[in-house]
Amino acid sequence: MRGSLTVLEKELSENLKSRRFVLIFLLVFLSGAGAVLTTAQSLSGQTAAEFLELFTGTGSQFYSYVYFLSVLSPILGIALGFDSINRELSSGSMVRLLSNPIHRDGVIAGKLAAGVALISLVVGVVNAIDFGLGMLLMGWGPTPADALRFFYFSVVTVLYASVWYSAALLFSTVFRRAATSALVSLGLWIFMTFFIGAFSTALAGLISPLPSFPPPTLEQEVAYIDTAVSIARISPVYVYSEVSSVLLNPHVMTLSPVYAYAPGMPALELGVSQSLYLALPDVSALMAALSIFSILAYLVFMRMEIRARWE
Amino acid sequence: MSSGPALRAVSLRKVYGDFVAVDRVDLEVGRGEVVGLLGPNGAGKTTTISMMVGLVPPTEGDVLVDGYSVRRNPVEVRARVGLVPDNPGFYEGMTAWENLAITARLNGVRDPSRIDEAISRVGLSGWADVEVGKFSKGMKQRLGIADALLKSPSVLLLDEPTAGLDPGGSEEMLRLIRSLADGGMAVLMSSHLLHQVEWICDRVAVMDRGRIIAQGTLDQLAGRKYYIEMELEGNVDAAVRALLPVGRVSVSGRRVTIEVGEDARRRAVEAALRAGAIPLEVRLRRASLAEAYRSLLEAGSR
Repeated sequence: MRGSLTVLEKELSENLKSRRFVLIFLLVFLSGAGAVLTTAQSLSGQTAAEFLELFTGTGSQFYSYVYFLSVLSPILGIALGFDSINRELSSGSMVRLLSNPIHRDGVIAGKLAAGVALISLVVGVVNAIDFGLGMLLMGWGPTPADALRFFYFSVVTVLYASVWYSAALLFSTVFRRAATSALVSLGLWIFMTFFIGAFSTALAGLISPLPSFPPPTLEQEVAYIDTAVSIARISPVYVYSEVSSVLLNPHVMTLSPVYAYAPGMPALELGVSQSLYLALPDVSALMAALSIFSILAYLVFMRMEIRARWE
Repeated sequence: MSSGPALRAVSLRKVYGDFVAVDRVDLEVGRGEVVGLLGPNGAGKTTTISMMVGLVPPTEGDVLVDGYSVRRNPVEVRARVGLVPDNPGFYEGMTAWENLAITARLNGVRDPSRIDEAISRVGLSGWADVEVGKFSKGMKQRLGIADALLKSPSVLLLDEPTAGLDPGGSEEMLRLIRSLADGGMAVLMSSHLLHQVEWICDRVAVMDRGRIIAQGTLDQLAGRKYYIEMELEGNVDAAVRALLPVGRVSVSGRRVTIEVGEDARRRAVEAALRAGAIPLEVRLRRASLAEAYRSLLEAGSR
């Protein structure tokens, strides 16, 4: 326990003083603030606008706050984790660390805890500032339910960025060169962000093909979309966008594609607990991804041979 | 604290697939003793040292530090072993003090004055609050020793401790190492600077291809091997031929060196005189560590 806490403190101290951390913090903050500002301008004439629309960007011509977080949170996680292990191996500081009375799992546990703490700090501070900025710009505040929804959204954003941190940590354990782990992490992020849509529809076309003639039935179309959505859900980016939409928009009542084919459904609002219930499978998926990457990083690190550079 | 040697490697073996990196190494380092670990690159020194500090698990055998087994109590072993690699890895964005504070916390050292004391002991007092990234290699080396000393280890493992130091700094470092051993610490040090090993070490172990091929004091390693060095005037060629029965002869101009197993100066001088050469200077010396080391490796490769 002493070892993990020491590693945690060391990581916090090292990162908080680093230019890399300051830069990524500024990037997330400025992008978020920019999105809130432009959305606030587009909402200024609407009297019926809801506070959380500031963040979902409904009606804005610019990218939304949620979109920026969905893109930049992985960058935050990757930036913190891609060289977490291999940099210490190549500099020799891992040998120095492990030649002290510390269990090896204490090192990886300390690094994981530090990553989550740093992500929480960035997401917490940026969200708090932009939430306050939104109140200033709109001239009115959120309802308690909206504030609660935004809090849960912040927690899920921390979880989402932590998934990317744990993936980068795994790659920094597997690959000896920081450049390789950075490239692999970014490659995965690019695929999961920009190509997952094309990949899932192409695969869905093979699994649940839509006939060109006669025209597909409603059941066939639903099966096709259902398959594509199921495949897309392997991407944390897709899952996060679903959770965000559920948490920040009380009008979202289901994540099933059948919603698109039910125009007669009444426009109701879900309570916070009902939205949470709806988001639960996706939140569980993010937690599972975090656990899988963390466990793999742990296993690889524990089995790794670390030699003193003696010759 | 165990009454036996501070460090004891027992039949230590490390195998990677079909490759035997370390083959049944037995080595002891007593308290107050400095032992030199020599060997060519790839001899298995790194792996041996890595096993001694619990970084690499042995395939067979064990390492005991103050009686604690590295297999059963690796954390206890690491609390008693100070390791100074040839390029100690520090967090470059942190100051020397902050780096040592991490080691202090990991070792349960609560008194911050111990950190100042360790830094001052290696002559870096004025650099405690400077980022390690601004340190020279020699300064990092000294900080590495301070880092190892912070836990008051029973055993100190050093790799090329004078690498990157100027001659004055090297001498100071070797004196510090000697004084640590004189204070009761067991020191195992690897170095390619054989004259330094010869100066500071009480015993030497030579490794080659994963095995310890010889270990003992310098006298024991050199065995009964001496060199007679003669400077001749007159018929040097005839003298060289006459000296062949005395021992193995090598010639450099008028200077002749004869490898012998005992003090054969009288026989050598008589042989030279009979051949028509006059010895201007005759000197007997024991084989140096470098010569003993070379002949051990040559014997091992034959």
